[in-house]
Amino acid sequence: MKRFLYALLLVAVALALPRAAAAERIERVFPASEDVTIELRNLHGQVTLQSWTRPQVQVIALRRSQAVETHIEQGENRIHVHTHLLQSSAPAGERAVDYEIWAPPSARLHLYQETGTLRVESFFRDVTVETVAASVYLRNVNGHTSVKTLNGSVTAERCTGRLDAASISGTLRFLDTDTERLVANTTSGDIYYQGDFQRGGSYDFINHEGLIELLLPATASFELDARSVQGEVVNELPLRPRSHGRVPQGSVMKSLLGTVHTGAALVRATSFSGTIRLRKQ
Amino acid sequence: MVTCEQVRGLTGALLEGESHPEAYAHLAECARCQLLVEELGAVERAARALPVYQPSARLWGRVEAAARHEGLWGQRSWWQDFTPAFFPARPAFAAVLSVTLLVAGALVRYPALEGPALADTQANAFEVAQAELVQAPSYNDRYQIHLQQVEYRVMAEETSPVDPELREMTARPLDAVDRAIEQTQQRLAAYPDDTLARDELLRLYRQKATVLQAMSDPVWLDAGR
Repeated sequence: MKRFLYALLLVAVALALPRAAAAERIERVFPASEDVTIELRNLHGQVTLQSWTRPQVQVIALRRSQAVETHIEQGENRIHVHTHLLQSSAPAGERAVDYEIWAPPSARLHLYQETGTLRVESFFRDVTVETVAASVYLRNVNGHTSVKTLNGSVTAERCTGRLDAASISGTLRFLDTDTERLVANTTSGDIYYQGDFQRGGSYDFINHEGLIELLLPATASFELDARSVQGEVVNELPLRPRSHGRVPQGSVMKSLLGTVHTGAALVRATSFSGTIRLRKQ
Repeated sequence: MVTCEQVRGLTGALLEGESHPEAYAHLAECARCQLLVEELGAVERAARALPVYQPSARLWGRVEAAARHEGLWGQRSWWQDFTPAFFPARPAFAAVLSVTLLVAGALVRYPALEGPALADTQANAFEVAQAELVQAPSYNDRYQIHLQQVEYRVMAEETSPVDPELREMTARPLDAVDRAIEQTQQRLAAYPDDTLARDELLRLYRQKATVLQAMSDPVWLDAGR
């Protein structure tokens, strides 16, 4: 029996060895100008992009198996980072390549990934992200940012500029953002917004079902247009309704239009069957 | 500097609100491309504001003939005949826009179409889409029918370009959108004048087109497959 167990262990080790040996770390550094563009196309894995002050782009790739290969190349003012699938039958775990990328903060980013996670931190030019199911985390991203995902969630923290976030079934979170224009659009996901609105800013929150929750400071100032076809609107803020008298705080209704303080920003929240809730921080 | 061809390849993305500074620079200097983008935008806006109208079979036949005449609706199928020059980069946008054109064409009153002789019909698709809209039901039905055709093409087992794993990943969002569409249609059946529900239905159709795009878009397939 003992021999059998040893044999079994040996077989397991033998099977695991080629995979371990296949894991590979690749590191490339390119000189880069301020307006460099980075294009990443990855299937699965953990990806982080961070800015630094050097006039260089550094790409560190960790390939988990030989089922995929990576191409990291520099074109004219453009860095291409692509993962290619060599064995189409390889399971998701073996398709993974993790990337750590450092670039100037002014770099433009075009990022495409199917699954896994994608983190972007401290860039101030255009960022475009598309994923199938990968979760997206943005932090200190300050240009025009567009995120589209089918099944992934999106979290944006301390972002400014313009932000478009769309998902079908993922949750959208905006924490301490200071964007002047925000469009958050999902079908079956929740939307959370925590922070203030910019004077003159415009904010759209749209879902079909689930919760739209806006957690706002007591000083928040905005025009509100909140409507839910079959759900409800719950408001805790002092709001002057547009037409029919004062609405008691906390009361429940299907639509609520009015002004909070001086109406410095424009906020539209629309849901089909979800709840729209405005809360004080 | 990008070329006209490249900008036309970005038309769908521009109308979806994506930022392409190089395309904006080109549009500022190229009146022809600017006109194209404006016209396509007008078609999309017209479709968004579509009231409902059920055209007669005769009118629909004329619209179809006019669309064929303009080369917008081919002899084989509407899906196969969109040329790369016109819909080069965004299959879903192409699908949505094609549906939009067909729907808009079906739902507007275009004077030329009311004339007696089919041979005289010179319907320009953009004029059709931007022409005066009339009130009547069921643009929604046609939109859905055409979207179903796109879905059938994408999902059909024997011809589908969709990788099985990608199909699995997109199953959840596709189900979510389909469920939402069904709920909204039920609402509209009960309350046909609910404009909020109608706007939602259009948004959901677009989301569904986005899912189908992701399933068929070479961006994903070429990424490493």
